[in-house]
Amino acid sequence: MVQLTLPKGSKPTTGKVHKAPAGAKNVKTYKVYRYDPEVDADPRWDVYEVSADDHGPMLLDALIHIKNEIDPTLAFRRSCREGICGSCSMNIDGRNTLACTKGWDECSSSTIAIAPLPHQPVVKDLVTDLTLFYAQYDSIQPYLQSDEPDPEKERLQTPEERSKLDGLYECILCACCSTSCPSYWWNQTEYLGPAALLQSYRWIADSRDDATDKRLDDLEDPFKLYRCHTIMNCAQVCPKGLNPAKAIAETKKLMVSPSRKKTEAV
Amino acid sequence: MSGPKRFINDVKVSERHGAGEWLQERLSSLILIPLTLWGLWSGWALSGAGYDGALAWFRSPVNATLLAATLLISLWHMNMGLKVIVDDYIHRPASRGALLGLIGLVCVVSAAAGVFFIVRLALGSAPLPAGLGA
Repeated sequence: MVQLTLPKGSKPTTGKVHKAPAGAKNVKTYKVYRYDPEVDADPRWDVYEVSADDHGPMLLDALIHIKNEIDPTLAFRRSCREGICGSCSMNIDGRNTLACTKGWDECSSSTIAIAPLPHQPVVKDLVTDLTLFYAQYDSIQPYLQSDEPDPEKERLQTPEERSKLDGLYECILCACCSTSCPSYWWNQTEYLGPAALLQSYRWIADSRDDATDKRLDDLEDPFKLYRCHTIMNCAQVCPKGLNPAKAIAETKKLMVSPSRKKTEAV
Repeated sequence: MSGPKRFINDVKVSERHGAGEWLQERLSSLILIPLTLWGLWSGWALSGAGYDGALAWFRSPVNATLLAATLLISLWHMNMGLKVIVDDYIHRPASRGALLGLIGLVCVVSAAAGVFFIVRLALGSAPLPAGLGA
């Protein structure tokens, strides 16, 4: 049975409160998930009161300010600070997103909760272990497979063929979608998740790729593909505005298309 | 251990089925739309017809056939739907297998009993065989 409540050792307790200095203006309160599995028995919520005047406009600016000025023990991933590397994905104010593209003034709660991506093993604080997520991406063979010999120059596509990749190629593999999906929460060891399935469809839809039938064969499975029940959390949280659920629906349509050549399992 | 690997690099190897089930779920849903509307309409029409009116309704081959089809397709659809829920939430293979077996059994028994009574009524017999009930 799925676990509907947090197991022992996973329930966050109340942690330290870092008060804002007296006289600070425009103070925002952040409740941040803290956990170091090597030393902590339980995770905890630490509270940081920060003057928004002291840092930039984004949640990531607030986190960097907290780490630099208030509490250097806080761990989180970040790199590009402009929504292209996908490192700072986390659960902010109850929704998976990138800290670097989410403004602190966009959060409606008086206390903004910041937690790691849901249902992933925590390495430390806001850093999760995405090993399985990457293995799933690797399994869909995310590269061009063509029957044609390598051409002298680039492989040409018509503008129409190229436009089929719009809304697919922009994925930055931040894992916001997969870790927001209840089906992925309950069955991530067997369900590939929206991110890997969107990427798989990105190659299925590519006019230059000739491995479509093999890709469909590798996806046709009650769990790998068909655990998607169009819950649509993936499309709702994607910080790039993509729609993995639609890519999955297109894949399901191709599965039953008359043009598909299915090969039997070896 | 012999046989093909179930997992490679922690990712499941495709079982090469699922599209057929997906199509069956949608197909049964589509067929059930008109059948369910017909069933509701029939129930409403029969509500004032009394016991004899109901027996007469069952004696029509069209009604009996459509009712049997509605019952069987509903149970087929229900069986597939419950399997999806069990697969989603029940992870221990033994519990999952037992529950799916139980659901299948309930569906088969319901289908057999339902068709048995529909056929009896269609042939003009009393709902229950002689010696059972009133």
